[in-house]
Amino acid sequence: MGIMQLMNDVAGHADDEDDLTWDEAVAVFEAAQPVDLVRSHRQILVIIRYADDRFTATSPELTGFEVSGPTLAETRRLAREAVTAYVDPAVEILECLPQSPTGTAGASRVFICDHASVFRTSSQSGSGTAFVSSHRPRRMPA
Amino acid sequence: VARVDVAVLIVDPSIRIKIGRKDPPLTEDEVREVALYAREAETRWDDNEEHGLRLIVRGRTYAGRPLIAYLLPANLNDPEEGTFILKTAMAQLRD
Repeated sequence: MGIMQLMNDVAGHADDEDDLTWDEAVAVFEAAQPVDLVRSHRQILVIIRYADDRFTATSPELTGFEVSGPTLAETRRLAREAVTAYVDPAVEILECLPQSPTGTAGASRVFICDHASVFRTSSQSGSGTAFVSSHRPRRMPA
Repeated sequence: VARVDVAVLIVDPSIRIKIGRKDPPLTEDEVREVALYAREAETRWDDNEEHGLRLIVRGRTYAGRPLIAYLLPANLNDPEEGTFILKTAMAQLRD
Protein backbone atom coordinates (compact mmCIF):
# COMPACT_ATOMS: atom_id res chain seq x y z
CA MET A 1 0.00 0.00 0.00
CA GLY A 2 1.45 3.37 -1.02
CA ILE A 3 1.64 6.38 1.24
CA MET A 4 -1.09 8.25 -0.67
CA GLN A 5 -3.42 5.29 -0.34
CA LEU A 6 -2.64 5.16 3.38
CA MET A 7 -3.35 8.87 3.71
CA ASN A 8 -6.66 8.50 1.89
CA ASP A 9 -7.52 5.58 4.13
CA VAL A 10 -6.70 7.60 7.26
CA ALA A 11 -8.67 10.61 6.01
CA GLY A 12 -11.63 8.43 5.02
CA HIS A 13 -11.90 6.90 8.45
CA ALA A 14 -11.04 9.92 10.55
CA ASP A 15 -14.39 9.99 12.29
CA ASP A 16 -15.11 6.36 13.01
CA GLU A 17 -12.10 4.86 14.75
CA ASP A 18 -10.17 5.05 17.96
CA ASP A 19 -12.60 7.15 19.91
CA LEU A 20 -11.14 5.82 23.11
CA THR A 21 -11.31 7.37 26.50
CA TRP A 22 -8.03 8.26 28.15
CA ASP A 23 -8.20 5.22 30.42
CA GLU A 24 -8.90 2.92 27.47
CA ALA A 25 -5.99 4.41 25.54
CA VAL A 26 -3.69 3.89 28.52
CA ALA A 27 -4.83 0.26 28.77
CA VAL A 28 -4.10 -0.33 25.07
CA PHE A 29 -0.70 1.30 25.50
CA GLU A 30 0.14 -0.83 28.54
CA ALA A 31 -0.81 -4.01 26.70
CA ALA A 32 1.26 -3.17 23.61
CA GLN A 33 4.82 -4.25 22.83
CA PRO A 34 7.48 -1.87 24.22
CA VAL A 35 9.95 -0.47 21.69
CA ASP A 36 12.89 1.85 22.32
CA LEU A 37 12.41 5.33 20.90
CA VAL A 38 15.68 6.52 19.41
CA ARG A 39 15.85 9.92 17.81
CA SER A 40 17.87 10.86 14.78
CA HIS A 41 19.37 14.33 14.59
CA ARG A 42 16.80 17.10 14.30
CA GLN A 43 16.56 20.78 15.05
CA ILE A 44 14.33 23.05 17.06
CA LEU A 45 14.17 26.81 16.64
CA VAL A 46 14.25 29.27 19.52
CA ILE A 47 13.48 32.86 18.52
CA ILE A 48 14.54 35.67 20.84
CA ARG A 49 12.86 39.04 20.46
CA TYR A 50 13.45 42.34 22.17
CA ALA A 51 10.56 44.55 23.26
CA ASP A 52 9.96 46.97 26.10
CA ASP A 53 13.47 46.57 27.49
CA ARG A 54 13.12 42.80 27.85
CA PHE A 55 14.19 39.82 25.81
CA THR A 56 11.67 37.05 25.22
CA ALA A 57 12.35 33.60 23.80
CA THR A 58 9.69 31.49 22.09
CA SER A 59 9.75 28.44 19.86
CA PRO A 60 7.38 27.56 17.02
CA GLU A 61 7.92 23.89 17.89
CA LEU A 62 6.96 24.13 21.57
CA THR A 63 3.45 25.27 22.42
CA GLY A 64 3.47 27.56 25.42
CA PHE A 65 7.23 27.95 25.61
CA GLU A 66 8.12 31.50 26.57
CA VAL A 67 10.89 32.76 28.81
CA SER A 68 11.97 36.32 29.39
CA GLY A 69 15.05 37.96 30.79
CA PRO A 70 16.59 41.38 31.28
CA THR A 71 19.59 40.63 29.07
CA LEU A 72 20.17 38.63 25.94
CA ALA A 73 22.69 36.38 27.67
CA GLU A 74 20.36 35.65 30.57
CA THR A 75 17.41 34.98 28.25
CA ARG A 76 19.52 32.63 26.12
CA ARG A 77 20.64 30.78 29.23
CA LEU A 78 17.10 30.43 30.58
CA ALA A 79 15.78 29.35 27.19
CA ARG A 80 18.50 26.73 26.74
CA GLU A 81 17.86 25.36 30.22
CA ALA A 82 14.10 25.13 29.66
CA VAL A 83 14.30 23.60 26.19
CA THR A 84 17.11 21.20 27.08
CA ALA A 85 15.11 19.88 30.02
CA TYR A 86 12.25 18.94 27.69
CA VAL A 87 13.77 17.84 24.40
CA ASP A 88 15.69 14.69 23.55
CA PRO A 89 19.50 14.97 23.59
CA ALA A 90 19.52 14.37 19.81
CA VAL A 91 17.69 17.64 19.24
CA GLU A 92 19.87 20.55 18.21
CA ILE A 93 18.72 23.97 19.36
CA LEU A 94 18.94 26.78 16.82
CA GLU A 95 18.78 30.21 18.39
CA CYS A 96 17.53 33.10 16.31
CA LEU A 97 18.74 36.30 17.92
CA PRO A 98 17.63 39.94 17.58
CA GLN A 99 19.83 42.80 16.52
CA SER A 100 21.59 44.65 19.30
CA PRO A 101 18.90 46.61 21.07
CA THR A 102 19.86 50.24 20.70
CA GLY A 103 17.69 53.29 20.43
CA THR A 104 15.06 54.92 22.50
CA ALA A 105 14.66 53.37 25.91
CA GLY A 106 11.27 51.80 26.40
CA ALA A 107 10.41 51.80 22.73
CA SER A 108 8.76 48.60 21.59
CA ARG A 109 10.91 46.88 19.00
CA VAL A 110 10.48 43.45 17.56
CA PHE A 111 12.94 41.75 15.29
CA ILE A 112 12.71 38.64 13.27
CA CYS A 113 15.49 36.83 11.51
CA ASP A 114 15.20 35.18 8.14
CA HIS A 115 18.57 33.50 8.02
CA ALA A 116 19.75 35.83 10.70
CA SER A 117 22.02 35.43 13.66
CA VAL A 118 21.53 31.76 14.22
CA PHE A 119 23.43 29.96 16.91
CA ARG A 120 23.55 26.21 17.07
CA THR A 121 23.44 24.69 20.52
CA SER A 122 23.42 21.04 21.35
CA SER A 123 20.80 20.05 23.88
CA GLN A 124 23.20 17.35 25.00
CA SER A 125 26.04 19.64 26.03
CA GLY A 126 23.96 22.71 26.71
CA SER A 127 26.65 24.95 25.33
CA GLY A 128 28.61 25.79 22.25
CA THR A 129 28.12 27.90 19.19
CA ALA A 130 28.96 26.96 15.67
CA PHE A 131 28.40 30.00 13.50
CA VAL A 132 26.75 33.32 13.07
CA SER A 133 25.51 33.87 9.56
CA SER A 134 26.27 37.03 7.66
CA HIS A 135 22.61 37.74 7.02
CA ARG A 136 21.06 40.56 8.97
CA PRO A 137 17.81 40.31 10.88
CA ARG A 138 14.81 42.02 9.32
CA ARG A 139 13.08 44.53 11.54
CA MET A 140 9.35 44.03 11.85
CA PRO A 141 7.14 47.07 11.41
CA ALA A 142 5.75 48.45 14.66
CA VAL B 1 15.83 -4.77 21.51
CA ALA B 2 13.41 -3.26 18.99
CA ARG B 3 13.98 0.42 18.22
CA VAL B 4 12.04 3.03 16.34
CA ASP B 5 12.60 6.63 15.34
CA VAL B 6 9.71 8.98 14.62
CA ALA B 7 11.52 11.23 12.16
CA VAL B 8 8.61 12.45 10.04
CA LEU B 9 5.00 12.82 11.13
CA ILE B 10 2.35 13.38 8.47
CA VAL B 11 -0.94 14.86 9.65
CA ASP B 12 -3.96 14.88 7.37
CA PRO B 13 -6.23 17.94 7.75
CA SER B 14 -9.15 15.66 8.67
CA ILE B 15 -7.15 14.29 11.60
CA ARG B 16 -6.12 17.79 12.64
CA ILE B 17 -9.80 18.70 12.81
CA LYS B 18 -10.68 15.45 14.59
CA ILE B 19 -8.20 15.90 17.42
CA GLY B 20 -9.14 19.58 17.72
CA ARG B 21 -12.74 18.58 18.40
CA LYS B 22 -11.89 16.11 21.14
CA ASP B 23 -12.50 16.77 24.79
CA PRO B 24 -10.06 18.07 25.73
CA PRO B 25 -8.97 19.37 22.31
CA LEU B 26 -5.47 18.73 21.02
CA THR B 27 -3.40 20.44 18.37
CA GLU B 28 -1.16 18.94 15.74
CA ASP B 29 1.73 20.92 17.24
CA GLU B 30 1.26 19.31 20.65
CA VAL B 31 1.37 15.85 19.09
CA ARG B 32 4.53 16.78 17.18
CA GLU B 33 6.17 18.02 20.38
CA VAL B 34 5.75 14.66 22.01
CA ALA B 35 6.33 12.43 18.98
CA LEU B 36 9.34 14.28 17.55
CA TYR B 37 11.09 16.08 20.39
CA ALA B 38 10.13 15.04 23.91
CA ARG B 39 12.87 13.44 25.97
CA GLU B 40 10.47 11.41 28.10
CA ALA B 41 8.23 9.99 25.35
CA GLU B 42 7.55 6.25 25.34
CA THR B 43 6.62 4.12 22.34
CA ARG B 44 4.93 0.73 21.90
CA TRP B 45 3.83 -1.33 18.90
CA ASP B 46 0.20 -2.41 18.83
CA ASP B 47 -0.75 -4.97 16.20
CA ASN B 48 -4.50 -4.58 16.18
CA GLU B 49 -6.80 -6.93 14.24
CA GLU B 50 -9.07 -4.10 13.18
CA HIS B 51 -6.62 -1.23 12.78
CA GLY B 52 -3.40 -3.00 11.82
CA LEU B 53 0.09 -2.19 13.07
CA ARG B 54 0.25 1.06 14.99
CA LEU B 55 2.92 2.83 16.96
CA ILE B 56 1.54 4.29 20.18
CA VAL B 57 3.39 7.26 21.64
CA ARG B 58 2.81 8.43 25.20
CA GLY B 59 4.35 11.53 26.68
CA ARG B 60 3.79 15.05 27.92
CA THR B 61 3.69 18.24 25.93
CA TYR B 62 6.04 21.06 26.86
CA ALA B 63 3.17 22.58 28.83
CA GLY B 64 2.78 19.31 30.75
CA ARG B 65 -0.33 17.82 29.14
CA PRO B 66 -0.21 14.00 29.04
CA LEU B 67 -1.15 12.69 25.61
CA ILE B 68 -1.28 9.44 23.68
CA ALA B 69 -0.96 9.35 19.89
CA TYR B 70 -1.62 6.51 17.47
CA LEU B 71 0.65 6.52 14.42
CA LEU B 72 0.55 4.34 11.33
CA PRO B 73 3.89 3.47 9.72
CA ALA B 74 3.94 5.00 6.23
CA ASN B 75 6.07 2.17 4.89
CA LEU B 76 4.43 -1.10 5.87
CA ASN B 77 7.35 -3.04 4.42
CA ASP B 78 9.69 -1.23 6.80
CA PRO B 79 7.66 0.06 9.77
CA GLU B 80 10.77 1.36 11.54
CA GLU B 81 11.84 3.50 8.58
CA GLY B 82 10.80 6.65 10.46
CA THR B 83 7.86 8.13 8.56
CA PHE B 84 4.49 7.92 10.29
CA ILE B 85 0.95 9.11 9.69
CA LEU B 86 -1.05 10.41 12.64
CA LYS B 87 -4.20 8.33 13.09
CA THR B 88 -5.55 9.89 16.24
CA ALA B 89 -4.48 11.32 19.58
CA MET B 90 -6.02 12.11 22.91
CA ALA B 91 -5.06 14.13 25.97
CA GLN B 92 -5.78 13.40 29.58
CA LEU B 93 -8.52 15.45 31.14
CA ARG B 94 -7.29 17.77 33.83
CA ASP B 95 -8.11 16.71 37.36
